[in-house]
Amino acid sequence: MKTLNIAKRIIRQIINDKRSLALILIAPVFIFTLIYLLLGNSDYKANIAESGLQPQIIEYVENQGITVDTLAVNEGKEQVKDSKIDAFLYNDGNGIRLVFRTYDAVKTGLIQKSIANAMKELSTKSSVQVEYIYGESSGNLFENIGYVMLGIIAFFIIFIIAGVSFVKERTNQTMERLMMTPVRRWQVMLGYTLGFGFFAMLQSIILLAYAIWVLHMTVSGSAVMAGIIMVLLAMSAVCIGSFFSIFSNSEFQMMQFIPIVVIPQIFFSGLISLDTLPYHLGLLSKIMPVYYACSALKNVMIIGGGLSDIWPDLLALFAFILLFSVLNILTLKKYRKI
Amino acid sequence: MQVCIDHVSKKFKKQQVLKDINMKIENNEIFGLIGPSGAGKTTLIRLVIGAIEADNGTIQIGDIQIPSLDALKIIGYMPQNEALYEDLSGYDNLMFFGSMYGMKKAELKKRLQGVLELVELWDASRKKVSTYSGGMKKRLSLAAALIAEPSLLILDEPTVGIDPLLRRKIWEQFRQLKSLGKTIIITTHVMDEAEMCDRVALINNGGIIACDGLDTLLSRTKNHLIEDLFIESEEINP
Ligand SMILES: Nc1ncnc2c1ncn2[C@@H]1O[C@H](COP(=O)(O)OP(=O)(O)OP(=O)(O)O)[C@@H](O)[C@H]1O
Ligand SMILES: [Mg+2]
Repeated sequence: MKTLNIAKRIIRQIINDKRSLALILIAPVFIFTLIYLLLGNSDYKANIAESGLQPQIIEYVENQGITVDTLAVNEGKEQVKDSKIDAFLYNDGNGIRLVFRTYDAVKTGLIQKSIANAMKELSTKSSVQVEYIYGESSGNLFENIGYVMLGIIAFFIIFIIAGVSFVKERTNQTMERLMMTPVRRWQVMLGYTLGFGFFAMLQSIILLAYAIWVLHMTVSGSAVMAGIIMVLLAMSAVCIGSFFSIFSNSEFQMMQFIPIVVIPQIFFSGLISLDTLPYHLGLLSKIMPVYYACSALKNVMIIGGGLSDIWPDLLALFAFILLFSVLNILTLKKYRKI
Repeated sequence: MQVCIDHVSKKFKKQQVLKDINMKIENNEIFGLIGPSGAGKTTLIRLVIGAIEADNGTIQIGDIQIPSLDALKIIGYMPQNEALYEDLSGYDNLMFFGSMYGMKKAELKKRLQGVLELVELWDASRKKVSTYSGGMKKRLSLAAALIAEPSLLILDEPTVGIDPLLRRKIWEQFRQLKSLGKTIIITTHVMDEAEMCDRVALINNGGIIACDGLDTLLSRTKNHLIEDLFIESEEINP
C-alpha cells in the first residue's frame, strides 16, 4: 500500500511538472522524427530499369523522380550486377521482382519506398519480391538502426528524469523526511521504480505506436514484445539513474554522468559492429543494459524473433534492475540504519 | 512517551558537535531545546529520531532503542527546513505523509481538514506548494508532522516565520495535545516560547549547560534573562 502511494506521488509530481512530462512524452517523438527525417529520406536520383510492368506503375515511379528504362530480363539483371543501374524491376509471371546488386541504405530504401507507394496508389494486389544479387538485407537505414534509437531514447530520458528527481529529493531533504516515517527502504525503492515505470510504459507505447503507425517502421515480430523490452530497459534506467544520483550533489552534477553512463552505451548499442573492435573492447557491452535491450529489440523487430530467442537478454535486464535496486536499498541506509 | 538520552556524543568529521549528552524527557511534557545557532540543537533532534547515528551512547523512546521503525510509527517529525514536495498541492503533501503512517484514505480525509484549518491553510490547500510563501510552507510542514496524531512530536523551530497571532494559536494547540497525553520536543530561539515549555534544556557548544523549568533557571540569574545563563556558562567553560 505504501509502495503504491509512493508510486502515485511520483506520478502526480511529474504530471504537475509540465516540463518533465513533456521531456518524457514529447521529446522522444521529436527526436525519433528527426532521426527518421535524417536517415529515412534522400535527394538521390535513382536510376532503374523494368521489364513487363504496367505503364501506370512506371509512370508513377517516374513521377517520383526515378529514371526508368526498359530492358530485357537478362540484360537488366546484368546491368544491375555491373552497377549500371540501381535496380531492376520485372514481372516473372507470378509477381513483381525487384533486384538490387547489394543492400544500400539510401538507394534501397528510396526505390523500395516509391515502388511500394506506386503499388498502394494503384491498388495493385501483387506483392514485390526483393532480391539481392550479393547478400541479403531489408529495410532502409532508419529501419535498421531505428530499434537502436528506440532503446537509447527510452534509457536516456528516464535515466535523466529519475536521477534528477532523486537528487532533488536529497537536496531539499524530502528524502530524509520520508525516511523518518515508518516506511521500509524497499517500499521506497519499489515505489519509485513503479512510479517512473508508469511513465516508462507510457513513453514506450507512444514511441512504438508513433514509429509503427506514423513512420511506418516495420516490426517483424510482436510489437508488444518490443514494448516489454523498452519498459524493462527504462526500469533499469530508473534504478541506475537513482544509483548515480547518490554521487551528485546537484542537478547539474547529475548531468555530468551523461558522458560516463549514457554516451558509451550508445556506442555499444549495435550502431557499431562489436566483433570488429580492437582489444576485446566489445566485451564492455556485457555490462551495459542498452546493449541487451537493443539486441533483443533487433531480434524482435528485424529478425522477427520471439520470447524463446530473447529470454537471455530479458534476463540480463532483470538482473540489472535487481542489482541496482538492491544497491539503492542499501544506500538508503545513509538515511536510516534500519 | 519518555525519551532517555544516555551519554550521547556525535562528531561530524573532526568537529565534535555534541559531547556526552545526558537528558531525560518525561512523558507528557513540552520540552524546549534552546541555544545559539550552531549549538547542536538540530543535530540532537536528528539523533533522537534516528536520522543520524550517535558515535557513543544510547537513546531510548519509551522502551524502544533508537533507531527503530516501531519508534517512527509514534513520532511526528518536523525538520528545520520545509522538506515538502513542491510540485504537489498542500493537500496532496499531507495525504502522502499520512499514508506513509499507514492511515486509511477515509480516516486521512477526515483528519486533513482539521489539521489544515489549524494551520490556516484550508483555502490554499489545493494550490501547489511551490506557490506558497515561506510561512505557509512552514505551516504546512507543521501540519505534516501532526497529521498522523503521533504521541511524540519532535519539532525543529516550528514557529519561525509564523506571525504572532497564528503562533499563539499553534501553541494553544500544543497545550491541547499535551492535555491529550502527547509529549512534545521543540527547539526555539524565542524567549516567550521557552517560557511556555514545561522544562527547557540550554545547549551551548555541544553540551547541556542547564536543564530545568525556565523559572527555576532564571531565578538563579541576577537579571532574569536567558542570555545570562549562557554568559555564565561561557565564564565557567570558556
Ligand atoms: N551534516 C553535517 N555535516 C557536517 N557538519 C554538520 C552537519 N550538521 C551539522 N553540522 C555542524 O554541527 C554544528 C551544529 O549544527 P546544528 O544544525 O545542530 O545547530 P543548531 O543548534 O540546530 O543551529 P540553528 O539554531 O542555526 O539551527 C554546526 O557547527 C554545524 O556546522
Ligand atoms: Mg537547527
